[in-house]
Amino acid sequence: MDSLGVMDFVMAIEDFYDISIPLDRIAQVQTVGDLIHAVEALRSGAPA
Amino acid sequence: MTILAKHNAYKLAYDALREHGVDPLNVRFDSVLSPTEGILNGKRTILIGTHNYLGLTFDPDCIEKAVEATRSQGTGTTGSRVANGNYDGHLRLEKALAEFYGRDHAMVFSTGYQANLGVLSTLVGRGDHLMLDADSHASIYDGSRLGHAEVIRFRHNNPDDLYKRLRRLAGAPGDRLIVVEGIYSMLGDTAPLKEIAAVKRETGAYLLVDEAHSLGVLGATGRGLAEAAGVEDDVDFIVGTFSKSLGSVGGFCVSNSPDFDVMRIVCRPYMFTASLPPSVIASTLQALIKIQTKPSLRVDLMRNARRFYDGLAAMGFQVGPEANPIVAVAMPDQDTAVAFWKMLMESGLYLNLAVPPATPTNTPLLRTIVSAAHTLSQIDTALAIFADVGRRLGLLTADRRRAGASS
Repeated sequence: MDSLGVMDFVMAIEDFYDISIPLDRIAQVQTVGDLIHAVEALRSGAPA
Repeated sequence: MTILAKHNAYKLAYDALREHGVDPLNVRFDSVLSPTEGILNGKRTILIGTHNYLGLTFDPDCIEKAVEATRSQGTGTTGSRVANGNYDGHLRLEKALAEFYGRDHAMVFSTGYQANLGVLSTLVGRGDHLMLDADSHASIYDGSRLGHAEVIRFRHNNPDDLYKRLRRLAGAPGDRLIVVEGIYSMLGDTAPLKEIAAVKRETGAYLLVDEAHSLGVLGATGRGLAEAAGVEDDVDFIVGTFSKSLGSVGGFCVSNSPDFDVMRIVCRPYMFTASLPPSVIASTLQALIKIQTKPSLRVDLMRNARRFYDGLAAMGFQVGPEANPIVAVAMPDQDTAVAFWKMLMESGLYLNLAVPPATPTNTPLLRTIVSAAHTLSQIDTALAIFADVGRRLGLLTADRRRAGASS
């Protein structure tokens, strides 16, 4: 996936969960597990 | 392995481009003859790929002021304004900018890039929220990294998406700063500023507009998109550059924020760099006067932009969404784009080849930039060259009228 594909993918996840994932958090995501962890943290309002 | 081996992916992509016998990232002009002509590979060439919107780089009055300033004040300031002192010209230029925009304060930076680095990293910090249009210029992204605010991207030119993201922040502490551009540099599209200003008012955010490509281009008096959209009162900060319509180099920020001047002692890209030399300040001041006294420049610019944009669209090329001085032509793939660009240059036309990831779509673009200084005959010559190359590459045959139309 190129950088535009990644951005569209992230925005689709943001829409689905009604969250915004800040850029620095996206930068930390390496694996699907990281992504799930970031989404869960943002949904519960806890710091990542 | 060298320390730079980590950039190998970029190097390989660049090498692949150069295998076509072109190097679009390293074009060298033998000489520049005027705002619209140069010698390239020994050939007299029409320049339609510089941001010389008003053609002021060769304005005799601007040149005269620059020469005069160099003779009387020297070639450089050799230092920063906070450590080594202001020249009279820095202060006069700031006063002239504030008056031009009808604002209380103005601050001059050494480049437009540094203006964004400095202003963005100073206005918001840890605990604040920076809302960036996804297609923002590199200097805006870099400025967002120099500060420590939380950075949230919204979909390009989408006020509803921006609103949704601000709504999600409801209740969170910290300032919100929305950043958009007057004209976006890749496709030449403008921000929907009226709608964005409405979102700003409703959510209590601050609004910054980067008018780098719209100063001297849009608005009844050339103040940019905020003026054209009639929302200047909603725009808290305007950032811009001297290196396009004003024909020199440097950046600025204007605002009515009452404590604006505190930036001079906390904004690092302002403090820790050498200030602009007297010649640049002098020609910029003169160019700012030209913008105000020669509104015909804007009329000529938009006449040329409209003629070029309409001409390309009529041939069947896929151009950007609006007729502005930046006219981007979408290419179907990189090989076609490189071949097209090379043939344009061989025919005496210089413009920009932009390839992903620098382009907002996933396709390569041929980016042209029209100037007020182009004659109608130069615009028509450029159109004829585009038609000729388009036909030779089979992009404009009768059954393929939508050349480059991938979506």
